[in-house]
Amino acid sequence: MNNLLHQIDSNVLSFILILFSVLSFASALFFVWGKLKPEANLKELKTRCKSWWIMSTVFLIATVFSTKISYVAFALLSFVALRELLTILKLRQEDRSAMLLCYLAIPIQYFFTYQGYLIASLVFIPVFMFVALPFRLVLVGQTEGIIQSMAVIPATLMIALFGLSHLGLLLSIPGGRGLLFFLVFIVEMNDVFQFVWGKLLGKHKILPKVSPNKTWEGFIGGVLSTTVLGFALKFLTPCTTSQIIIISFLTANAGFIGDVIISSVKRDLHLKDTSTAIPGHGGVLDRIDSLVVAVPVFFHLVYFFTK
Amino acid sequence: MRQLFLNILYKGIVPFILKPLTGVKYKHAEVLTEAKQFIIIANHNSHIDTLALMSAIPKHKIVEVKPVAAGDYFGTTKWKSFITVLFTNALLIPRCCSLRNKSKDPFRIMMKALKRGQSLIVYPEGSRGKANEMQEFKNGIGHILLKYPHIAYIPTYIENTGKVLPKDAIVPIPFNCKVVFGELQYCKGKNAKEVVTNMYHEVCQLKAA
Repeated sequence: MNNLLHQIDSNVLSFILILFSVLSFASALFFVWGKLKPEANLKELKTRCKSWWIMSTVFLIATVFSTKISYVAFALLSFVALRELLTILKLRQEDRSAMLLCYLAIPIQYFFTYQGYLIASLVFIPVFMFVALPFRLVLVGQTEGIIQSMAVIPATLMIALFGLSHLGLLLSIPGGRGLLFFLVFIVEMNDVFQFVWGKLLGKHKILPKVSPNKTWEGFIGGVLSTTVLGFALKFLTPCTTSQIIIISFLTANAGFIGDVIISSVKRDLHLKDTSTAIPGHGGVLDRIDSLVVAVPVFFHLVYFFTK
Repeated sequence: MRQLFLNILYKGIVPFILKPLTGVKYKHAEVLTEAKQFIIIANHNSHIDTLALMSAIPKHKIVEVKPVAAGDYFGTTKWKSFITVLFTNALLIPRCCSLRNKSKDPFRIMMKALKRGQSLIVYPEGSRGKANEMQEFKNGIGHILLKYPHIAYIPTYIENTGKVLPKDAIVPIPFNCKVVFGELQYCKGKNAKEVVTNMYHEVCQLKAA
């Protein structure tokens, strides 16, 4: 028990408090709103909020107690994301062996991040897997359609594994847990802020062909709110005030970029959601789309500033 | 005893393998509790199909549900047929009719099972096709339903299992799979061909949904 309390320091406790206050506020808001205006259709929002409670709890269980659990959880997240991507992409039956390599790369990559091998983690996928995957396809020998497979499969690995594995890298540096909480919270809140500002003020569409619901007002309001939030949560990181403002601002932008990249992929495939894993949110990939781009950006900014 | 064994297998061990491999989602599985006896009519792409369907069967019914399997494939040796029947509760039938030998007549074997009150899982395509492509349904099940018009059938569409473990593949690769059950249906049509055609369209509708 003592050991457990030692693990959970005061910063982490205040973070957990903030997280649950936000969730409680949202739940209370929808409850009161639903009572005052029974005609308003809040079912979708309520389902989403419920899923947020579950996801937050799972996230805390995976990160607060032991870093070993965290790495296993991140690997599982990558696994589910990869499975979702490979399911929706229309690949050939001849690509199965290359897909198997993708799945096998997950434990290897997380082993490198767990050991804190920074360079190995950074080059394993973009250098070694980028050679191994096309070569595996060549060995199968079916050249019809091979260009598409050679391009799509490594890119899939970048999204599902490389980006997310930076969560593990983040944990491997001193003060990593605080940074991890900071990052995941601001990125997910960035999504929420963009949604809320968009609903409140949204008029001018930002990318009408990709995401008809996204507006300039939502984007700008979201990024500014996230920057303020990042400033308020500075205590979780070892950075200075000016650093944290730059980092939060850029990370919020990266989150938006990840979101619209996955959106455009879905649009091309004529899908609304990548799967039905999370009630109210869609697939796992729909939830972590902003993370896959924001995590590496955040990690390398922090690394640049603090080293 | 048999019930306990099958339940441990299909509620414990099989989901443990099936979950990471397929993340299988069942839609409208409540229909399985609505009728006492039923015939599940599903498309067939992979051995995973039977595992996924058996895992969805309610606990107390599992012994009474028999996946109909090709005797000329799973029953070539005594050992093979023993294993198949033990682990999948299968009803082995020969695919090529030898109507003269009554004990080997596939219709008789299936109708006997229905008379005993057992439910069946039938893949009217006859064999595993390419992933997510449906072959034409064979007429056999139509003849049987015309004789037992009071038994309901459940059109079922299974998606992506053919990608996880296609015919001829040895190593399974994870994909998200989906099993969509339709409403209870009763035999419609004057002859076997019509019954089967209706069935085919019902399964196709689930694919589109």
